[in-house]
Amino acid sequence: MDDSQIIDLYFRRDEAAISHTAAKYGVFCHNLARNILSVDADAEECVNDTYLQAWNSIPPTRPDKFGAWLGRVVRNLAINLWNKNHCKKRYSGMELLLNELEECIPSPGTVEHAIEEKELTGIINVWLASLPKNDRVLFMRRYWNGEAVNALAAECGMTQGRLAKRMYRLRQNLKATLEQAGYL
Amino acid sequence: MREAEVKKLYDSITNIKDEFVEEAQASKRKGCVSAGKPILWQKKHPAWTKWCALAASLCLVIGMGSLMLMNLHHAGTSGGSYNSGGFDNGFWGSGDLALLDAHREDFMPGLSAEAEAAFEGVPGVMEIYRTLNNEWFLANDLTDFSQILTAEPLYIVPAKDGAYSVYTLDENGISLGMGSSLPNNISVSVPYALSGLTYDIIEEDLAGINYDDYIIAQSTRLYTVFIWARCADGEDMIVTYPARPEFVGFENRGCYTLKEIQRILTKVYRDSGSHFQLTRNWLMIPEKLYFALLFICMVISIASVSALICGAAKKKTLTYYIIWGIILLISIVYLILTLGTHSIIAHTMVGG
Repeated sequence: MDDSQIIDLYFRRDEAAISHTAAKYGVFCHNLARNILSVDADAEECVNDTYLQAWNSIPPTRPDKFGAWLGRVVRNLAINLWNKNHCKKRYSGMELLLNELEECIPSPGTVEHAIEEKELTGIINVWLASLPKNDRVLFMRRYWNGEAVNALAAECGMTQGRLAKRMYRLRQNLKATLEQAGYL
Repeated sequence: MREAEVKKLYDSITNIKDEFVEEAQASKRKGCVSAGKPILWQKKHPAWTKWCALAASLCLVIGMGSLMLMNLHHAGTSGGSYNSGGFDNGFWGSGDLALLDAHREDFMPGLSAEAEAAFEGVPGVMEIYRTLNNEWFLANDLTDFSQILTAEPLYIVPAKDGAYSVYTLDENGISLGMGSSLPNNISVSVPYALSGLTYDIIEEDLAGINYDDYIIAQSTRLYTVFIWARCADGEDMIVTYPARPEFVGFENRGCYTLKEIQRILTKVYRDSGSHFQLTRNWLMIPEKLYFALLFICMVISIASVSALICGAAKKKTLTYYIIWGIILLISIVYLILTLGTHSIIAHTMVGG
């Protein structure tokens, strides 16, 4: 069943919409949450909350790209859960991602003004568009999906070290872009 | 503060364009292993690279095969196979020495009085005359070797193990002319060109000929020494000592009339396309090593071509192509040096 048909089910308030969503995107949502939270039970909780949010949001929302929209919902829920439990538990997946992304933050004293999150998203969009496709996909799968480096390395047929180097260069590239934009 | 910025950055990433998210998910679906091999980030080679690699490999195989067939063909003729050099000076001598107008009596056998005095006490000195640069053997009115030889003799002093030294003689006395050859491992009982040539061997080879006298002539271009035995009643006979008999068509210590010499050289000359140059710049290696390397390089070149063809079909990495390309190049260079230019030869290929 394609995405538009599933969304139509939501609009008809047909509960089959949930089952079809789970069938098509369940694994994707679970993996996304698992990559951030590292705990299956919490990831499962996030996924269930995602279906609930989808049910509550559609309608009136009609996402253009249903998969990406769902992924964003899962991601936000997983981050919120992480924030909530950050002091109580350590989620290794999210920790590692944040540690790596910390390298992208320009040094203090080199910026001119604070940038809103929306503007920052725009900068990152432009930066991603300038990357070759392989690098862009790599970045997305690492920092949006939260996939582990060793899994990505195995899939693209390179050693973990080599992939880590490539990711490092991407982060430095992003850092340079943010510095140019005056990010704080 | 920094932690907050990191979180802000992370949250910003959450809201990037949907198409980037979809692109990543699509690549993840495509990037699943196929037949046990990851395919996500493999570069797709355009189809034409595969066909170009195949065409290049076929050209190499055909080229090498043609070269080998040519060599076999020439080896089967009396002229043998040889290097083509396009040498504009012709292939007899240096080309700038005077032609004597006088007849054969001006080329006397043995040593002149001056030479005898100069080389007194030195055993086995030979006086030789070098040939001119014209294609003398093509002439129809050839009557004597004044039409062939240069005026200035050289003096060969034999040494041990086939080595020799070359001298000139002028009003200032003896000068070391063309230098010396190095001793070699070839038995001196089988002379080639000047190496190992002595009066004893010459007279042994002339034993069956009723001659009056003889002179010694040398063609540097052909690396061949001719013992021209002059016969008062009957034809002059010429005994040949070629360094590369398979090139010039003469046997080592072979005996020919002048007409036969002309016929053989004319054929060789024509087969070479009028550009005939022997070079002495060859590398001699043991015979077994020569043929072993030849066989190995042939096998390696065929294997390299096959590997390149398979690589083109299976879309291998650039490193794969480079490595096999280098291996193919090295093996082909060796094959060219041995079969093509004969720059590498087995030591048994020199001499009789």
